[in-house]
Amino acid sequence: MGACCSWCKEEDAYAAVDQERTHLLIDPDCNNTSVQRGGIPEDYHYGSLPKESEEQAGLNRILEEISTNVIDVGQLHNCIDQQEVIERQNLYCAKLQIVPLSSVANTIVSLRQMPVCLLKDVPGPEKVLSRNIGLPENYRHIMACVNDIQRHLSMMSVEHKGDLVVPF
Amino acid sequence: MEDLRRYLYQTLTKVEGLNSILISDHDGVIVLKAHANKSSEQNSNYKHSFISEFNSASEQAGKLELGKNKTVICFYTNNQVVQLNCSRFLITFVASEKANTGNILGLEKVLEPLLKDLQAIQFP
Repeated sequence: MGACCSWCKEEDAYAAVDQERTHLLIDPDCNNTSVQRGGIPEDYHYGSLPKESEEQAGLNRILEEISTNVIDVGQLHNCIDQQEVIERQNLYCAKLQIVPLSSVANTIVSLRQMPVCLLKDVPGPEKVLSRNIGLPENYRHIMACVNDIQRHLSMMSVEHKGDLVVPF
Repeated sequence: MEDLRRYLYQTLTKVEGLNSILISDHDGVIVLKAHANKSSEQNSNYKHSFISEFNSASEQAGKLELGKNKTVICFYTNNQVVQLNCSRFLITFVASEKANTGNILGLEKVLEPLLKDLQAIQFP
């Protein structure tokens, strides 16, 4: 496994929004996927003398920052056990039964109506273009007219009346 | 709940080739889902670990000094998987490989009212 290091200069920019590790459940039973981030020790009281030397605290802080910023491929394999998955699914299902629908109820009618637009995306246009479409009713008439025009064009001839280029 | 499912299904039908929409938490546990048909339902019985991989990958990708990662799009042999990070929820779209990815990404806006309702739920 390889590991890369990256410094995140704007780490506070997203501090206010929910992160990838934010749980729907406030106190989930399984916390094995949460990121272990070090911080101030529990027995530390503001105003009291630090137990560690400042140098050691500084080193610890640097270590924390590095461990936070390291791209750890091994972190990609976190999962919760099947029992908890089932429990959570049941819980979500129960909660959804009693959810008050305000936004969806207002939008569900408009969603049925197709939006009016001139251009519409056609995925796989070859299917549409290769479809055997019915010919228009007046197709025979159009073909007869085209044949007639071609016949008349072939019958056209030029009658010589004089020189096209004359000397000045 | 049926209204939520119906809304999700109607959203699903807006993009041709879109087979499934799964709304889950960040551990991959499904909260709500919709499938285009039975076969896509059977084909999309993904393990929660597959869905939650996005979570880890997105978190690691956010360390590349390119800003916070929001979307991961994966193309496989026969289908594509588009995953969006929407606050407390993770939205996974499973579509055929020829489906318009831009249109799928555009569904995030359509799903906003649904997510708004889901956000209102107080999970214990």
